[in-house]
Amino acid sequence: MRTEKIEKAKQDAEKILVSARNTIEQEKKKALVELRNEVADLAIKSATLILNSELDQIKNKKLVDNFIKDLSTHI
Amino acid sequence: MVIKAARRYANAMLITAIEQKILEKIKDDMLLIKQAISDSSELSLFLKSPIIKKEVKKSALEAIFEGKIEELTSNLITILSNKGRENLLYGITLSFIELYHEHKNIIEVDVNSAFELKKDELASLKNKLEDATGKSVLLNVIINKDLIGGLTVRIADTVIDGSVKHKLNQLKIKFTTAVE
Repeated sequence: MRTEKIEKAKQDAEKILVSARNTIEQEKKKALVELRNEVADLAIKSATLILNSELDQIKNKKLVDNFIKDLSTHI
Repeated sequence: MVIKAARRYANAMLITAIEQKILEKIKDDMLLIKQAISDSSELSLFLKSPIIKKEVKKSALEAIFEGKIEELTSNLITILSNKGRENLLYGITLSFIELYHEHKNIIEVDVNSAFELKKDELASLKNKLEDATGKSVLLNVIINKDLIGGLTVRIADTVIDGSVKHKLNQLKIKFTTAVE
């Protein structure tokens, strides 16, 4: 009887541990995704800021010329 | 969305204009009327209003366009006024321009550009588009600083996006969907 109880308690403890591990794993994944999104957002925002101040008519001309050059492959 | 009746009137106008060899003049009339209506929301509402009598609408339209348009276009306005269908006028101008372009093998291409495009850039863009489509190209250029750099081109339902904004968006998608 006592051994049965101990066995049951062990099983319960194992279940709780498994579920806790799963929760931790899920939370970790969620946090990683959030972090990645935030980093991506930050990187794009920084890039936008830099491009806005650095991209002038002269640099833009190269973009325009390349776009026109490759245009026929898109139509 | 142009309603069918407007398209029928526009088609009749096109055929008659070609027959009378005044197509270019009628096209200018249509552009003038289109511009006048789209520039003035008051005129647009006035023409659509069911309360205003057709005689009033007729004399207003005559006063606005008299001496500026061909007889054929005046006749169109008279017919529409007599039938109380002045509200079709704007749709007719849109439809006419569309039919005119089809007739002349012209396509309108909307260009959004972050910076003003120089004459040589516009010319080479137009050439390239004409080569690719086999049609005469009419460029509608709009400056849009939000694009940061580069440009976008819209031909009918196809958009070719060469803007820096688009490239940054693609980059963001790449970052956020990267495999672990």
